[in-house]
Amino acid sequence: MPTTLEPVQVDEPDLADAAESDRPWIVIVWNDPINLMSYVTHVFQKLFGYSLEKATELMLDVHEKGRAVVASGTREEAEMHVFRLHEHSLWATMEHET
Amino acid sequence: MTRRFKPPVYATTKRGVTHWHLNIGEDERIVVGQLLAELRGLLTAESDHPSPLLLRLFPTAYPDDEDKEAEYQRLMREELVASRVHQLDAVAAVLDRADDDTPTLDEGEVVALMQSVNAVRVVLGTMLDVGEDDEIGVGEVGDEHETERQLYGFLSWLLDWIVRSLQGTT
Repeated sequence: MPTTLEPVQVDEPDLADAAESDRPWIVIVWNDPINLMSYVTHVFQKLFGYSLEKATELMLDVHEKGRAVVASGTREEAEMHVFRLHEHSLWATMEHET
Repeated sequence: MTRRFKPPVYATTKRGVTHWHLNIGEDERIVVGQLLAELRGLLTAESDHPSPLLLRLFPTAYPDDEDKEAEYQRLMREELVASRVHQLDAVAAVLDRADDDTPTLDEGEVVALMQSVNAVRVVLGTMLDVGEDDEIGVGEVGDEHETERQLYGFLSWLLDWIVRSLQGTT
């Protein structure tokens, strides 16, 4: 049994990492030349419960600007959204919100 | 006298319950069935090198992070294949209802049809290298992929009607 207390090494939490992991994730759908505009609009309504107007606006952003942020949340939530978009054959990616 | 056009897929609601009807000819049903079976074959082929035609069916989730991307593909790819195969099988069962000229579908089946038809379109579109300004189904006469181009046009038309039938009810 040690008679003296040895200095204990404590790992200080890396604040930069913590801040990084707290930042929300965004889900981006990218334009592609194959998916129909009507189909993309419908998928946005179905997966995210958006109104026809909101879904159409996002679809037009994808079509005209090349991409649109369609959802955000924790990493797990964003990954589930991306998976479901992939199930519908849409080109979706996720990244940290800047 | 003109006949009233009936869409290839349409919904009817009776006593609050909606059903969908697949109103395409037997030849078209056979073609759709064959295309879906071919996709199933590509998806389930045992190979370390999946067909490049499937590239768009398995997009990158994390373009900026190699490690997270590898983890995503490891965890999700198999699940994505299983989900697609499950839907293809649901549609195959509908198409096999040979005793019915206009098979009736429930919502799950029409959604499976929508996603499966689109998945085949995506594969055909990849094969044809479809571009943003290309007119659907139109190509040079006599080009080597004329058949695929026509199938792509047919499936695009069918998909648009499937979406319309769902938009009216959801």
